[in-house]
Amino acid sequence: MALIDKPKVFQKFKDFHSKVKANNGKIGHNHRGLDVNLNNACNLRCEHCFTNSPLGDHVKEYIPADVIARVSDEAHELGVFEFDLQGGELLLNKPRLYETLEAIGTDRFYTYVTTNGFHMDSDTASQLKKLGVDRVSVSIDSIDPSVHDSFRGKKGSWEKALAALALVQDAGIDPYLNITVGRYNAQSEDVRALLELSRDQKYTTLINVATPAGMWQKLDEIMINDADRAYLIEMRKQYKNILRNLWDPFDRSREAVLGCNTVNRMYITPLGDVLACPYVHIKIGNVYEESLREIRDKGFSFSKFSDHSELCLAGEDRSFVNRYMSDAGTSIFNPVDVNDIIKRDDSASRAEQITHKML
Amino acid sequence: MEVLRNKIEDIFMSVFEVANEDVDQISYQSVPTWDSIGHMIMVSELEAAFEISIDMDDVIVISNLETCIEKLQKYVQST
Repeated sequence: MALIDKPKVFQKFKDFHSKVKANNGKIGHNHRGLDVNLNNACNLRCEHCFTNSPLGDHVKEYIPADVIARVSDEAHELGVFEFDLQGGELLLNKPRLYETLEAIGTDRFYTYVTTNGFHMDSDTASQLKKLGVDRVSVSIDSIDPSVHDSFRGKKGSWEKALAALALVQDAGIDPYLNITVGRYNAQSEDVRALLELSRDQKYTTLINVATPAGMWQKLDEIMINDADRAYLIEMRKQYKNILRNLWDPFDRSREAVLGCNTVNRMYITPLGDVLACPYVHIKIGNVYEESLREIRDKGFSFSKFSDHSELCLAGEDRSFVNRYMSDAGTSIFNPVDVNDIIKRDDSASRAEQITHKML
Repeated sequence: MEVLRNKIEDIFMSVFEVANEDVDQISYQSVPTWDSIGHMIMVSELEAAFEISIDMDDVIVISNLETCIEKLQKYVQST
């Protein structure tokens, strides 16, 4: 399925493109996507999980279909054109996933499901296609099955992930091979081999940079550096099937950057909390208490989310990470509140001004 | 008509990154660069080049060079 097969989606995509173009290629405050963690239960134990699922964190809660329907309506009004359902692992409860897809109104969104692929089969792939899923994203950590399996904490997970990509491709769904890239592997032969595999199989590769969040909180040594960033751009040019949310997908020279997508792509937890993005565990509202528009406005009232950033705040901006992502125990279920951050920053700024005057 | 064809061919070659001799062979999703994003860029380039706004009904029907020329004629003739 492609954007072009859903006219409502294509129109929103076209509007997004026009607004980005009018804003000198920067994302600005234009909405792009919504990531919804429907439920946090998972059958794998990934070392880098940003939702703390391996710790069994809030694995019973889920967002009911009627709330999904309302949030989807609000997202559509805001011009959101991408809708990503993720977990946890959503194929652990397929009836709930199918009910959720029906509630979304998938004719209005480029809809995708992020999965580890372990429980994918041809019937499931067909059902997802029937329910309007356009894309399925599966992460692969290494070309070496044993490395992937060890990282994911389950033998056989590599084989299942590869098989899932093939199954969804056969079902007519866009297969995305997701690779998490950090300092430890950015320029490795392993990642190169994955890029080759993805291209040869006619998948799209989505690069996510490693972030010091969730199970990897405070591990800022995993963050990519300038050389890694430049290398990724080179790979982007070489393997024309690579995307990153930070990059401008419309730029045919494959160099331009849209900017960090905080608030442009909001993340909703199973508790209904809305975070600025999946990896920035700063709460900007809750869908049980406010509309998405109100939440969006609050998010953009924080200058770090409002101002353009060429860097991914959570994965590349060390000063942002040190200042706003380092409180012990922060997680998607225990996020920092943006109002507290704004007050803290205002106080710090006033103190600095007073000190400056005194000097 | 020749001017229209030549301009569209130039846009196709640039957006889809194909050679002149291939431009009338390609169609939507037949090459990696003609995916939804490529289609979007193509529509945007056409609109800018001809100073037109293409209806969504026509956007989703354009699938190769010939359908593109056919659809664009009415916009160019009316300007």
